Amino acid sequence: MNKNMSLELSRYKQIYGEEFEIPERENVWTVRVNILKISLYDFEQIARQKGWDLENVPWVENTFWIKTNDILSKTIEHSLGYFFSQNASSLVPALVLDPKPDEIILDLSAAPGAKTTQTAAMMKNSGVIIANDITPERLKALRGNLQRCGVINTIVTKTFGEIYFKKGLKFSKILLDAPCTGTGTMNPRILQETSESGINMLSNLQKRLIESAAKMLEKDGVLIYSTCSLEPEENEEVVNFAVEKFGLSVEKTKIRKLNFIPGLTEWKKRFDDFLSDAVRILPTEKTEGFFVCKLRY
Amino acid sequence: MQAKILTILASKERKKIEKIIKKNYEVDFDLSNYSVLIGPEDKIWIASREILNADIEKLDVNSIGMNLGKLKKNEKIRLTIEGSQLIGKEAKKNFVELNEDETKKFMSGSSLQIAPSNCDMHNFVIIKSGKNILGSSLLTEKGIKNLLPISRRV
Repeated sequence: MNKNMSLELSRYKQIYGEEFEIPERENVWTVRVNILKISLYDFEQIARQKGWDLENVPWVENTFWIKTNDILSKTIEHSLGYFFSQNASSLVPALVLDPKPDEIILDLSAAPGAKTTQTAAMMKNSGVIIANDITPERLKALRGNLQRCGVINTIVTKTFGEIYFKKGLKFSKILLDAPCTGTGTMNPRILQETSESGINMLSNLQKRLIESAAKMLEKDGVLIYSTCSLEPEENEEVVNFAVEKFGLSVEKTKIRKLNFIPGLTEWKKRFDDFLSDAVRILPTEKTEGFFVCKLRY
Repeated sequence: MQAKILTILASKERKKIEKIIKKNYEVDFDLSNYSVLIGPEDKIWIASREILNADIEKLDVNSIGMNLGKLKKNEKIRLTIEGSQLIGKEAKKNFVELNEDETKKFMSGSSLQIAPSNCDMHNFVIIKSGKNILGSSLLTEKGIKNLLPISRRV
């Protein structure tokens, strides 16, 4: 481990305790079967024929860890949209969102579309998802994934969140999977390149995004805030900002069979006690670190 | 795609597209289950019916729904992979069944020197492989001209 990573590890030990370690990643794919295109039964048949070793991800339906030497993202089945490859912890925000088929949902930072396509499948391709992002390259990836997965209940939009607020749009459910440092991936390059100033810059952006989302939330509406970052500045601090400034409240989240720790109530400063109801998934051999918080207005 | 030039189709126009699908593939495809839109280059987009409940006028729309295919001259339609998958299961003509080797070739982007029966020359034929529907491509005198998008080749 190089010097920079040692520094990062010491930071995480400070945040999460001495027992925190950077896990050795298992060589495994995580695949969510796209039930908009193929039944679970048919997918399992294909997997058996191909010799893919399937293990159910315990906390979410239709999802497997797969051990294989095949590059799954370069298979015919991937091209045909039979599955989406995404980390198992990144499936949690849509589970907490709990979308229903007849709802209109805003996915504020949607690209490249892992959570959007998951949400669409949970809605059985009905209702409406407004899938927003701002950069052309990311929108291209989003549109490509929506098409590949056969998603028809989505309007892709390109704007800054505050514009919709100014136009008076309101939503009862908003997903904000915010742009982040990505330190939950424990990717050595990311850990080396992430600085405290970079974290603070993103924290400010995330506060602006959650402000837009909070202003667009209907009374009694639900906002899911998530990142794949381990940094409290990008997570608890951002949620605490929304709680203090907009009067949102944190709701307890229960996901069966998911191992997680409570959100932090203190890091450099004291946060709202209810932050402990947020979900913190620490990185393991098979999962990336993730933060998910359910807020209600 | 610019949503400002996307037009939501009325029942009469939807029926015209259904007729084109019927003519080319002998499939009764019911577009009344969807919101149907037409955009630049005569591309047809299908979306959930509830899409119309959204306040579309206030949105900076980039795209709506899924691309079903593109209308072509002489009442033909070039289906996307997803359009082929929706329509292809029931197709009674203008489809080709590939064997394993041909499937690999097709998915890599190669054209195929085959002469399928029950297909119209110079028309878009749906490509099948076992239970899988791989898309649609153009039948010419030289065989199947591969129209699989580069991003979907393996």
